[in-house]
Amino acid sequence: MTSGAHIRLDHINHRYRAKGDLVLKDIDLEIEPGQAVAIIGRSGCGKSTLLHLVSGLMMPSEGEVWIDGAYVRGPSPKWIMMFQQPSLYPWMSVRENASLGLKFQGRAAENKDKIEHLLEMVDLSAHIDDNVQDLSGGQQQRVALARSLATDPEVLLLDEPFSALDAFTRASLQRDVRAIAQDLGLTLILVTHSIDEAVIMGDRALVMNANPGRVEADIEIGVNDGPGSDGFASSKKRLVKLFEDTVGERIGQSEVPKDAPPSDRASNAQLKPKTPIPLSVAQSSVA
Amino acid sequence: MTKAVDAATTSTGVSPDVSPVAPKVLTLVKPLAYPVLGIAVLMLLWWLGGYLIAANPDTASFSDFAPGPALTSLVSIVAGGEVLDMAIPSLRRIGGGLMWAILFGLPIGIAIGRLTHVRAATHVPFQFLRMISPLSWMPIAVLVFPTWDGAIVFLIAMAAVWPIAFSTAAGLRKVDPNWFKVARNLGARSYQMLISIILPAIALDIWTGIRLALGVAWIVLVPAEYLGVTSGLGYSINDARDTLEYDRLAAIVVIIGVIGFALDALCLAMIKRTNWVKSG
Repeated sequence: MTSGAHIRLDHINHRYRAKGDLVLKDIDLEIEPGQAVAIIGRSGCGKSTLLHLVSGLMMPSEGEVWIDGAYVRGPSPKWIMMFQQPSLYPWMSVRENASLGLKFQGRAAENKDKIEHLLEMVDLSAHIDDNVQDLSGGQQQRVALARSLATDPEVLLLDEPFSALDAFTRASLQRDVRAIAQDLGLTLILVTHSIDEAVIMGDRALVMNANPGRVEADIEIGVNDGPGSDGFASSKKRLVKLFEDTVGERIGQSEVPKDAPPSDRASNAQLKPKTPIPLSVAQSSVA
Repeated sequence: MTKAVDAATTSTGVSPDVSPVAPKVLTLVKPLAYPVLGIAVLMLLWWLGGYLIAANPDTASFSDFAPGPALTSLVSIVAGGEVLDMAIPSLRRIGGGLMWAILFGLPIGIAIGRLTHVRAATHVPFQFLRMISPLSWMPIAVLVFPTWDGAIVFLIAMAAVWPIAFSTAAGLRKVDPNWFKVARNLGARSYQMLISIILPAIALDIWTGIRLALGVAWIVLVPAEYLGVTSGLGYSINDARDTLEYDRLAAIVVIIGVIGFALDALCLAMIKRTNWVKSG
């Protein structure tokens, strides 16, 4: 059992190149231990960049990131990132992938049981010795989750990790990741294009605007019992209104397949792009 | 026949033994059919060449190149153990040259593939050096190295280093950048990144480079062994030519081909072994 970390971002300004345009401006942010924060905004507003800065995989041009009072100088297994693609190592088995962080720390041998427990937690007990290429997309993302949790992180950073998955798998992973993060008390930051996902997984949502990327609004998301519940509908309504007021755009209701789970049918609000684009493209992503 | 088999199956409920065996034999024989056909065509062309040489009075003195005398000589070289005396020095030189080529080519390839500045700075000089025939380094090698063996190993290394370096670099550039991000995030140190991520990720490309390098090195070996040494396959060919033993010369050519083929098959096996992409 771990506990989440406190995160503080002080006056973050960021450019990709020394004399390039500002991509993030005046970001000041504080996230409490164990809090789940969803970051939403249009493509190119710097959501993923902000997440990279928190993870230490990128360093800000100006300003500082602090996690539990420690200045972030680089990546660490204590604040771990999951990407849209699971980025598993295809020459390794499920177990080898999941225990890689521990192997780097020289602790893999004595934590064999822990890895088995984690893989059981993410429903992969039956696939421990399988090659990861034999798994489905959702199962691969579960391996990535187990790998991330193996090093006892305090912060889980999710960069659209479910956007490449089908609706059913996405819904189950959203539910499971949220539950695991709550159980372990992890601080969770999620970048997403889906308002639903933000409401399902977040305690709080940040709305970002582009050119340069900045946090325009910050809203508490009420406790809800997931899609279909009154709490969910009301939180979603508030977030949609806030997003539209902040970004100055209407949010489209994209068409959902009839066989999609209730969470997707009830509310699959996506951030609507400025220029109308074919439905097939709009459905796939707003990224 | 079909009717008879059907009848037998119907009456006993079990197919006769003949029917499952035939496809089994076919499955075993089928993969060998094309190679055997290829070898047969090659032998036929060799025989035809030998016949034409023997039939022409101007070239008749070279008729020992034909398969008959050559294969007789080959049997005697192999049976007498002379083949080992010829092959071992050559394999030692090839091994030495490849070892140096790997020791230099692998880090060079990793640096080119991983670091943009290194890639930009080395592109022109490396492409320039690559295009120089390895054998043109011969006079310099003879001057620089105190032994003939050293000079030959150097020439082989010069020929073999580029395929290894460039194949490694190309492999590394194809690697998913997120693999590095994830490994850094999981706390990988530089040597762990190299051993656990980079080398397994590009093992296939490294072995492909080594395979290409081996092909080039094997080609360079024979002329390189014309240099002062008194052992090896190249020396033996030169010696056979000087003593007009054309049957022996042709037999050594066959030995070079067979060893080269075996080494290539070894590399191919390593490529298959290190290929982590699952098909299907």
